[in-house]
Amino acid sequence: MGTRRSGENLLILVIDTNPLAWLPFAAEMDFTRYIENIVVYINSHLMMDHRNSIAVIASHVNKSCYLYSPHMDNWIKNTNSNSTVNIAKDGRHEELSHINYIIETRVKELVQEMATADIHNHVDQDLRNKGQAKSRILVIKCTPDTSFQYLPIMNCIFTAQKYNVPIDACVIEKDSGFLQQACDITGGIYLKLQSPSGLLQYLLTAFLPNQSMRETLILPPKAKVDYRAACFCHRELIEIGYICSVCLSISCKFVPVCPTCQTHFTLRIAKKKKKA
Amino acid sequence: MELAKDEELLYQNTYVKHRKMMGTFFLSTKRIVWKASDNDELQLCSYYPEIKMQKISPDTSSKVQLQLQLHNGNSFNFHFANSDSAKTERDQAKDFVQQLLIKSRKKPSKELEEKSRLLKENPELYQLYKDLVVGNIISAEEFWSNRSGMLTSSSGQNIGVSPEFLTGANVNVSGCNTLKYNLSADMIESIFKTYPKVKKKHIECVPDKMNEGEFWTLFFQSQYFHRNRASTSNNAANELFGSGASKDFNDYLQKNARSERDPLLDLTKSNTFLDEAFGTNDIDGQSAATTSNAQLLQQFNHQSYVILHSGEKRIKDIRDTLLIRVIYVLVHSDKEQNDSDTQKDRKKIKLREAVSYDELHGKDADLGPKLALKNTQVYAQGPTVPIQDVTVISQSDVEVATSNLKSKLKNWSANLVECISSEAACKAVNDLSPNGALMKSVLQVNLTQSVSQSLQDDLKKHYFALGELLRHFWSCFPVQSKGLEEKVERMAAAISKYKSSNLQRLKASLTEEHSHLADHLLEMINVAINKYKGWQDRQRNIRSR
Repeated sequence: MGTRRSGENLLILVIDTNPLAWLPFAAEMDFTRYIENIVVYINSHLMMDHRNSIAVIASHVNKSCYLYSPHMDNWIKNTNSNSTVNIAKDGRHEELSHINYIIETRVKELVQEMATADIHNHVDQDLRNKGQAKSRILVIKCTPDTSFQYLPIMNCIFTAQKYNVPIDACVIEKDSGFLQQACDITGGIYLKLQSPSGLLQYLLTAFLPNQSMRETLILPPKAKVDYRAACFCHRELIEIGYICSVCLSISCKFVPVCPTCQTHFTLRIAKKKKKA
Repeated sequence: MELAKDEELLYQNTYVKHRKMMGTFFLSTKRIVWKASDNDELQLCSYYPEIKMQKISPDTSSKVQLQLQLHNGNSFNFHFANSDSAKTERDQAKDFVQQLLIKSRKKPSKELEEKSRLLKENPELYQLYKDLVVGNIISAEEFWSNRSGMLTSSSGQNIGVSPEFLTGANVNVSGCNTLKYNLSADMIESIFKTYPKVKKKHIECVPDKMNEGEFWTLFFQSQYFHRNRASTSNNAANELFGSGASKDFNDYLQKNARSERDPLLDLTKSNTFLDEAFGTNDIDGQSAATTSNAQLLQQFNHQSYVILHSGEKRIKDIRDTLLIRVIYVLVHSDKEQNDSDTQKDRKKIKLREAVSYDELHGKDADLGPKLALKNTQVYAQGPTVPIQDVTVISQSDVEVATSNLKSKLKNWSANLVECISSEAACKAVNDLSPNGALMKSVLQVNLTQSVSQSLQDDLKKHYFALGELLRHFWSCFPVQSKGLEEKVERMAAAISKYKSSNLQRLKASLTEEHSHLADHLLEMINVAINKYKGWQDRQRNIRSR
């Protein structure tokens, strides 16, 4: 396999692997089950077409890393060679078991490494690694948005748009403004689940068909996306505001000096005519 | 005949027959009209741009006729029937038509063609034009004023000079040792390009001192045309055109001598034969032995130069043509000493040009001033609302959960067979089926389905037309000049007119369920009208003060 085949439909899966963020849902589906669901989804994607390929990115606590990428096929040899014994014991397709094994092992590693936890998970920061043609991105996310990564996320969304890479999102319980915008801008599907049970079925039904098949399917409707921006001064959503012409900061009232970049403004008022 | 406002009657003849009916022949500044004298309704009218050409009957013919051929293939014959002066009348009319045709074929018709092409290619623009201009809401000039960019986009290519433009001239030998040349406009252009002096003379002489025909006769008799043959001296011609083409060339050399110098290129030093070949070493007139061959070569060079030069705005390229450089070097090698100082500088420049390539230079990236942010933290967060509902998990919970998970994962091996319960799967499929929890809005009736195509098109038209009007209107603000003031008033009137006529019609045609479709149009109009009223009030206040 070596390098990525000239395959069509590279699916880049960004999954939320923060086990703590998963805690609220543990009653319905525990973390291992969640990973299993995703592995099944990955296998299904690969089985759709022999040219399909996959990359899995774990968005973890304070970091993100590849769980699997097409370049990681050699990884298995370099690590524990004993464990290869386990592979393909049940007659599964070799390639699938490879991938499953890699993911499984990597998840274990990740969790073992984990020290103290930060509840905020920066799922989106990793989106910026993408941008290959004929690929799509699916983000599975259960943590709320944080605004610390606003600029990289927006850059990444527009990059995806430019490269024609649709971003799909499957969020659990909490709506994500970023992902709503990302899906809307790039033409992907945004799906919000009330609970994680049945996650696999949602994934298979809504996100398995590739881009070209989607046109012929009835898919979840596009929701209206709230594009309103919050002003920089009070962090309140506004419909009409003032924007600094230099740094594009938003404020809800006219300010003579931009608080962000210190540019001075004078409000241009139409000159009054002199008395005739 | 009724004349339009900007029309003027130039010629009238009451004895002109068309299809054997007597009538009156009118020429105005815009059109040609013929009206039957015994039948008021019968009349012919054609505007000059429609007319392709006119023809007249030969002198030998029994009838004195004038024929107009139109672009659409039709033609009209007019028979000048006034027995005494038919011929002079006809010629007079012919001259008028000739002049008017030329006038009408100048720039405006080209512009019209361009406009009609645009309208043809762009159905939306055409619709807009129909709605606004034909509906008399704004004038055609105003309509096009916003689109001047579209009009000027295409510029024709310059036509070069054909190598055989003179030999290609149609020569008719008509007995008596005379030759008749038929010159087309293209050929005249070519001659002008090749012999700038002829052009100059033409401008000087033609309307005042002689007519076109005489000028060209002299030209063909002059040295310009015959210079390579045995000189058939014709005094009048030589007087007009001076002593031939070499003068043109010398003028050029004098003018460009300094700038054309290339110190790195001196073919005389490498090859003495070049002297001969280019035949230019005696141009300064010191040598008496001017062979006809040398002159011929020189004229070839000159002609090449002029033709290249005529290719507009390519002068810089031409400077680089080897030919010119060589000629220069040959001619001015004796003067070399005089300007050796400046030559050194020039050499430096030339050397630099020769060894440096623009493509290899790094781009001088002038990125402008950098963004200097004082408050980067706020900036990096962007226009987002901070999260309110952060669920805090206590440290102990975290530790318990982590250790649980760790121990669980230690012996975990993915069991892919039972990873989803059938109930959960059923629910998910239901949710994602039409009418399911996540697919509710799918079945909502779409406006595109409920509104008929014709109504959609109609609405689109209205939006287009009104949008155009409003754009004109809003572009007037702030009103800073008298012209804009007038335009605002005109536009406001046009908008109200649109509201009262076109929009009313639309509203009447809408059924009950679609009645809201016109609301937005109306709203846009009202905003504009309110703005106009406010502006009017302010104007009044200013005046009354």
